[in-house]
Amino acid sequence: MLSTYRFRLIAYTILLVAFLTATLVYTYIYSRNVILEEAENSVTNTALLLNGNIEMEENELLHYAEIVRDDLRIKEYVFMIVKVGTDEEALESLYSRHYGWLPVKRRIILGNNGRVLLGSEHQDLARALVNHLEISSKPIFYTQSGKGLEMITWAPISYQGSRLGVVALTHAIDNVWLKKHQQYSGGYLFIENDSVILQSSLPGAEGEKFELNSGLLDVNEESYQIRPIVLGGSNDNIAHLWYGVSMRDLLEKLERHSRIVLLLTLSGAFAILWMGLIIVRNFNRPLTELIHITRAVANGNLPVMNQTQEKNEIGILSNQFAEMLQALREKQEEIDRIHQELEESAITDSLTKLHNRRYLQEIFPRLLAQAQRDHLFLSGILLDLDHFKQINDRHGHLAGDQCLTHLAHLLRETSRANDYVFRIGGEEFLILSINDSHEGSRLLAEKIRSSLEQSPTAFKDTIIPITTSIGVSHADTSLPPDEGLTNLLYNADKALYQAKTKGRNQVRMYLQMDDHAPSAWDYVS
Amino acid sequence: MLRSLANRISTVFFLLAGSMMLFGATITAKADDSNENALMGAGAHFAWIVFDALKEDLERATGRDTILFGENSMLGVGCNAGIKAAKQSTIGHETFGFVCCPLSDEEIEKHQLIVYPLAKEPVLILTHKSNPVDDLSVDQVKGIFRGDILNWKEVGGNDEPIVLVTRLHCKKRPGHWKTILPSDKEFRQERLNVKSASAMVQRINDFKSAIGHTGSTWKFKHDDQVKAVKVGGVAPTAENLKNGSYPFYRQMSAITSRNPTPDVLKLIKEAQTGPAFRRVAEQYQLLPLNPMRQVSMKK
Repeated sequence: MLSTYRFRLIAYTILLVAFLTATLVYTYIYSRNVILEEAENSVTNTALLLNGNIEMEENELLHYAEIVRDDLRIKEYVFMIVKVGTDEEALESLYSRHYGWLPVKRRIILGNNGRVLLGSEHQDLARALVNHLEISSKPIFYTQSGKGLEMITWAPISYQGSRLGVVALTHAIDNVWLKKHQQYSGGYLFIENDSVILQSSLPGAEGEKFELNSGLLDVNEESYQIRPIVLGGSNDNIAHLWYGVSMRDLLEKLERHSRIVLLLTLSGAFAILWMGLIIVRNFNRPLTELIHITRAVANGNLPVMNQTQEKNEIGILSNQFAEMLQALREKQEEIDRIHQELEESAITDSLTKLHNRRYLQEIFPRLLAQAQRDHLFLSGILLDLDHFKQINDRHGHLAGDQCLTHLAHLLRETSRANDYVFRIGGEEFLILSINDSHEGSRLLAEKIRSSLEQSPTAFKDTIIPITTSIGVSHADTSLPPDEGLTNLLYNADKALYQAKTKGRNQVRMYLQMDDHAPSAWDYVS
Repeated sequence: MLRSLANRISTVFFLLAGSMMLFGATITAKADDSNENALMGAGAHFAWIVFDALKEDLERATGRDTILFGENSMLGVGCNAGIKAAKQSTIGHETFGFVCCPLSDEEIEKHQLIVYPLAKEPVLILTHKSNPVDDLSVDQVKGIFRGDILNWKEVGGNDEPIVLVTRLHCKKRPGHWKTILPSDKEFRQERLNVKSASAMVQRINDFKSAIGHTGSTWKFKHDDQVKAVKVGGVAPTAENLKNGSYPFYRQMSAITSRNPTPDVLKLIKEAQTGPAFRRVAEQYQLLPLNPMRQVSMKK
């Protein structure tokens, strides 16, 4: 049982399912950690990406400032204001005409003495710029502007070898900026100062406390993975920019992943199980059939095995086995036929096709037992062709054979289906017939004699009249078979002798004393 | 079979290429034909304005097309381009030049040119329209341009620093801005030096306390906040140039090589003496330097 392929296949399938399940369970558990780790990395990477974007914005803004700075007209106008002392209106007009299109929030040009040459309405920006220039030469810095931040880039303006002032341009990092960057970051942006959220792309977060707990920010009953966005040139005194991703979103992603893993696990297990069953079925069925058939063959049977349409190795093996069985069956049939022919030839006379003496000895005990069991008479009708030697001498042996064949045909035609006809000598024939009286056998003998008398043998162009002498006897059922047969033939032969001696072409019966006749032997014509 | 296909493709290619070459040659020939038939002139923007206004009359007089280059002389087209155009004239490619400044004798000799004076052009002293000062003396103008006067209040205006705008072009030629101060070295250092007349006008538009200069042949825009002040009570007109009361001016001329073709001469003659030029001169306060030819009343 355990060594069968069926068992092995089932075992392999179960092992495979178990392995797959274990692998997927491990994958699920491991992937959960990986997802959480990757989520944290993703937050960090997105924060870095935002940093990169901000750097690009800074460089772009600085580039704009340098374009304005490098414009000769700007320099000349600033020169006129600074050196000649004219008013700033012309500079405003020039800037609006040529640089009004620049995508900046505010612009300002400061003279060396801190005088605002352009953008006098932005005094706060002027102060921030002056303060920055006093402590730093970095061309990019940030200030807090209301609830948001302001990116500021500046470039010095020089003309005829002397520095006249600086031009500064700004970008606002406000709600609009936060929402714009949220669109591609996938998370939320927070501007925080003194542990309070000043602005955020997360609705309802403004004014909430900004407190980190194990690296997580709790806002509105939700936790966020949080990372700082580094703003170059900013100091700790201004608000900070943060990027965060909702843990709920992460967990939802994780749950989604777990559902996918579970679905994959179940699907995989079911698929393997199903495939295993198919393999077992496809592999086991033909093997089982082969086993049954080989067992039948071993028991001497050659059952019919149908051809299969399967083209695989087992199918080919089955078909070859079926062909082998068919060949064996055909051989067996041929052997049986030959055997039967041999058997028949052993008990059949080759000339007349009637049973021979050997078969007489074989069948007699059975017929005798039947007669004994049924309380019937087993009669023996012994025939001998009259003057057969003369026929042979006159017409030849072929004619004699023809006469014998003719007689055999007539005996077959005349006798009953359950009668047995034997050729027991050269021209001697015997019919064993079971009857309920002696009269039946006598009538049969007479009928045969009469028929033969009336149907001469035709041999070539010659009509050969033939007759037969017949002696009838019946078996003594009290005797053993061998003895009974000898007794029967002996008595029939006596009766035949009587027929021969009384003139041939007649029937004589030999009856026992206790049957009908008053004497021990009665010969009836 | 492949060879046959290659032959067919080659045939089609050469036919196409031949057609294109023929077509291109036709276009070039047409362009060349039109250029060959035209008289071409180039030079300073101010002179270009005059010639452009006269174009139809000149073409009628010569019977040939006239092609002019010089609008907005910022693109390398100016007096120097006029000299170059005059020198390049050949038979079949007749060209002439026009300049806004008088050429020096050395320059005329060096380039083998003939100068055909057209008109004197007042050099306007420009200020912002909002400036209350409408009249400056010659000395005041010179003082402002020299940097001796730095505030408008010194000449009766508002207490505003003067923004000086200059365009010191054609430095090696006499006349023009040199009628204000003879050398660029004499001009105030703290000034805006512009490259074109349009920039000059723009600066004066921008600075309400600006002062500058340009030729009278300038098409001011209707919204320009610029005005020309009188000098010593004299307006920059042709009449005042003629009587010598307006001091700042330059000479506008046509120039040719030493062998001008008859049609070029005819064109320049028409410009110098034709009635159309008189109308243009009147419009821009130019003082023609040649008498107008007699015009038949019969038409």
